[in-house]
Amino acid sequence: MALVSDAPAAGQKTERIARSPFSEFRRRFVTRLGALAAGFFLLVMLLVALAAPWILPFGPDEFDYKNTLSAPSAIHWAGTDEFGRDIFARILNGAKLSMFIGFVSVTIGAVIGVIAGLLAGYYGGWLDSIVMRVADVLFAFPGILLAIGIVAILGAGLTNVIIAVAVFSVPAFARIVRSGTLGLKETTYVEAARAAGASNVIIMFRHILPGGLGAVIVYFTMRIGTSILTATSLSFIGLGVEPSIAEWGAMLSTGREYMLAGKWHLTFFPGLAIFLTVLCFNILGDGLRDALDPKLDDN
Amino acid sequence: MLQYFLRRLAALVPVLFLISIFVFLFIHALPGDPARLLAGESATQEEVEAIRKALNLDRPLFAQYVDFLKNLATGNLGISLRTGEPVATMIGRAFMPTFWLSVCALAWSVVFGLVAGVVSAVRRGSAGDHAGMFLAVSGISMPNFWLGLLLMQFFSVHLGWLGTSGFDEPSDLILPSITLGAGVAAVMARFTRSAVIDVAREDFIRTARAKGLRERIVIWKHALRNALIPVVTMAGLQFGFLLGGSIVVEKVFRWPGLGSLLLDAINFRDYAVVQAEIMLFSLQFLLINLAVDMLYGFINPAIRYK
Amino acid sequence: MTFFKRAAYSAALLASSILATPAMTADLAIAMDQIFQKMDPHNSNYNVDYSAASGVLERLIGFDHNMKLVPQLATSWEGSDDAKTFTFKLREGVTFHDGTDFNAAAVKANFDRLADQSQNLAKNSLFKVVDTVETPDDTTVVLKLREPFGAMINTVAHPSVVIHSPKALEEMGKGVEKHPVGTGPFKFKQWIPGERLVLEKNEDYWDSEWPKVEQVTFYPVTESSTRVSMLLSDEVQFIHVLPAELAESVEASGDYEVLEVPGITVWTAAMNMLKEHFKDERVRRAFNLAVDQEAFVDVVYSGHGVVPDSPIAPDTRFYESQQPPRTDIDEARRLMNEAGHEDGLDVTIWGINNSTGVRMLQFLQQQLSQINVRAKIVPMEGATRSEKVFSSMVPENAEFDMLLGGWSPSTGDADWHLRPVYATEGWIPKIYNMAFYSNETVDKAIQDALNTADPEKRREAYSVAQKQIWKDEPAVWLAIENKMAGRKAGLTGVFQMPDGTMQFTKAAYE
Repeated sequence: MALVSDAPAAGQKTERIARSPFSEFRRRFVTRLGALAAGFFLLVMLLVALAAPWILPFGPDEFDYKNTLSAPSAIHWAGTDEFGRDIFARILNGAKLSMFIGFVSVTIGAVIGVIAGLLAGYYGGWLDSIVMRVADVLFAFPGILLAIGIVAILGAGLTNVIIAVAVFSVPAFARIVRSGTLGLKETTYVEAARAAGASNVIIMFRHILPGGLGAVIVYFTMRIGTSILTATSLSFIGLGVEPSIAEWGAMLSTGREYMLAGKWHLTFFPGLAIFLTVLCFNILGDGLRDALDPKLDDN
Repeated sequence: MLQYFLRRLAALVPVLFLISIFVFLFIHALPGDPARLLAGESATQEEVEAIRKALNLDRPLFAQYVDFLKNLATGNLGISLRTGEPVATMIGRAFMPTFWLSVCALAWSVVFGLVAGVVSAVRRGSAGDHAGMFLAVSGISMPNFWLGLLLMQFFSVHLGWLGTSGFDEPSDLILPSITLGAGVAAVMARFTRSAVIDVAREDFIRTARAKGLRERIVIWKHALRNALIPVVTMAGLQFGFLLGGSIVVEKVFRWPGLGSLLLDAINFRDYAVVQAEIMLFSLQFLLINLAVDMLYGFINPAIRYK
Repeated sequence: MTFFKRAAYSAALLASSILATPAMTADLAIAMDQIFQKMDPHNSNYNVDYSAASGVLERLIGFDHNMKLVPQLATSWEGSDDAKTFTFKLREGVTFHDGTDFNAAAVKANFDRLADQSQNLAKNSLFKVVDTVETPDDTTVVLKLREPFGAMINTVAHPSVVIHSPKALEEMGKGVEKHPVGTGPFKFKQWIPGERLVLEKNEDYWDSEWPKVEQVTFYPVTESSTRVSMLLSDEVQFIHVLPAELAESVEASGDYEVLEVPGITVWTAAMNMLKEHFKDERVRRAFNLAVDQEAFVDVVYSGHGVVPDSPIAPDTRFYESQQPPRTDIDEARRLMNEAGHEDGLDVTIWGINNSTGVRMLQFLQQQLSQINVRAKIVPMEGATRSEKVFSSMVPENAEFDMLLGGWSPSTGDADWHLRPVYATEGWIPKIYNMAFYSNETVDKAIQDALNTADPEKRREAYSVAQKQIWKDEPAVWLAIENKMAGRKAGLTGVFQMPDGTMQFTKAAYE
């Protein structure tokens, strides 16, 4: 959405202001600790979500028309919705779904983007122009609009949401990898490989790609958060997964009908779930950037 | 510089042409039939055909595309299939609300983001820095439709201080612009912080510091000035996305702007409006990019235009 | 933008209120649930258009709040026994807003326009049976039909059969849809599509007692909770439609009232009878037994509705109650097994993607899961639905197994419910027979009823049709939603109608 910005550029800068060793240590420690905590939270959430059918007394689709719209209680931790379904159980189910959508769509986007970026950066010329022109055009569209368009053409549903969100990720990966490739292909090390008779494919994937992988992994992590946001936005405006499926954006969207009637819990908990999940992915991404991105280390 | 500007402007034409093809194909690939919609669910087949003919929707696709281009070249955006109004009028009406919303959102978020970013950069490693940056990550992670709903629930429904929706008076701008700007403020803060830190290690800053200038002057005057280039870029890019990307926020607050117009038009298969609006968004985005590039020159005269 | 204008308005208003009479100007603001399309009901299929236009354009015959016929521009009417000739006596001393006299010639100009199928107006089909329109004298209009059509009086009362000024029709043609000129209590003032429609008082209205408000402004507001907040913040005094789930919050303060009337829209999930499994009546029976209609009304309409006990609603003319539907899961399971679906059945249900529509789909999915029916639900956004269901549909290739929809007979007569939804001639995409139901007895009964203007004979025929349809169960009967609206306390004369339109011409503040 409005957050293209989060472009890796923001983080790739070296930080070398003079500072005390202690504050440096504290900074690293806090960042790492935060990342660790975030990763741990995500892991726990995923595990609980996976185990939910055996732990929770309610399934996400179990309806109870005698007990609709009830406020949070000891039995229903997050209350029930308009069909009397347990909101907590639905949120856990939504966690599985959102992580799945986020992970798969970014993986697809990354694979396509990385290959396109590698080819464009390595071969240059018209191939580069075309890839970058297409990336420009894709960038010229507000991301959510692009996603709306794709879902509108393909129809709503899980697969199509994944495709829509994946397309949205491609140009950014392509740009990152391209710029990395442009720098790396001139290095003596690649020159040496070429002189030794390595094929283009080998050079690209064995010698250049690993150099840019750090940035890709960092961006990958952050992108999952953004993709989850986009997917939930799509559901929120009614273009996401089938509405009966317990998905966070869809839950928020139907829940808002009851907001004016004072039923805040229908929108509060799904929104909180989205927020915390995306937050954790972003913090994890920041931490990974610290640890992985070679450009970050003072050399 | 003027020459450079004109050349850049001319380079936009092929991109726009590409986009026009893309847009046209996109809109015609959508399932849905405007003639049928106009006629209503209980209309008969003959009524639908009559409407289709009247709207020129029975012509071959290519001919329709040529019409579209011709009209575009003469500045005619066409007639809305839904309301029969000129599209330009509808966009004109929807533009100002979105413009105001974007300007307000950008204004507070840039100011807030800049200050927070610089302060964090100066006090690196302090508790304040950590808190600020945590807040910034939170802002990026916040689903803006949820933030909007929370604000609305609290300030409009619970306290009854502000209207829930629509744009009738200036105070209606408050909640939507906070919602829309939150993410931008967070991005700006993070970005400014790293830009300032980045600049701070440049030689001229070291020199300034070595000359014994006060740290405050070094940071605010020298470092910030140079950090401003990437920051302006980022702000410009954000503005483009605010104008075009406020669709979800407009939906939450029922804002009578371009985003709502677009969602309505997509829902109604109002081809003329969707085409015109997407072209407008793209043009706007490209122009903002150009403007950002030009601004560089004013901030840092060292940049040469080739 | 708007706020500058607003500021100017309020300044002007303030000034005028200081200078002129201190009395509160009686204006009325109304929020409607859909965007206005055309201010020419002859060429519109939308209830919001009919509702707003009814202030400007009057009909010969109107409906009261119970859908009973009441005189408007006609003072009396009668049909011949063979249902081929209908005579209307017109009101005298009425003039149009442009000064033209209202008389038989004016009515003829409008009826001819409706009858002329080459005009391609959305409502030409209503007058397809009309052969000639005769005007024996200045206050009498006679409709001569090609074939008997017993439902003609109710057709003339259809909210689209309005009388435009003949001069306006002549000068503007289709342009009247942007600037209607009629005889009504309000004159058209301004329309900004998508934003507002303003009508002002007609000082020379033929009924000197009315209207009692100076100006009426309509706002199209598609988001249901926004309409409610507009009412609660006194931006408008009436909202149509009020979403059932928010009725409580409107009533809570006592400053606003909830208006609720039984509707005539019958919601069903049609079962595609061209599909092998739905040809088996045991399966259709089982589906109806599996769905708990009472719960449907509770969950989908927060209890604001009734369970149908006939294919048409109680307030539709010639309704006859049948055996109410019951719920019996065991029986339903047994029937499914008997029909050879021991392993369950996969069906695709198409619906509508607004919040109520989505709730309906989910409810059906849940209920059918109890008899091992795995339903794939597809909420469709308006445009897609229009194309897939009503445009490019070839009955034999229809992809859906079930189709959710609601039909409301705007004429208030059984004919305009049974014929479009259950007669063979109504198969989608032609009209609204979404089950592709075809039964000779039903077709014949519907035709028989049209061949006479005698209410008793028509009643008998419709009784036959209703019984047969109820027995065949081409659809899962769901609910008749109550029509709900919200109103500022103290406002009278503004209310919603069972057919989904609303009236406001007798608006007054207590």
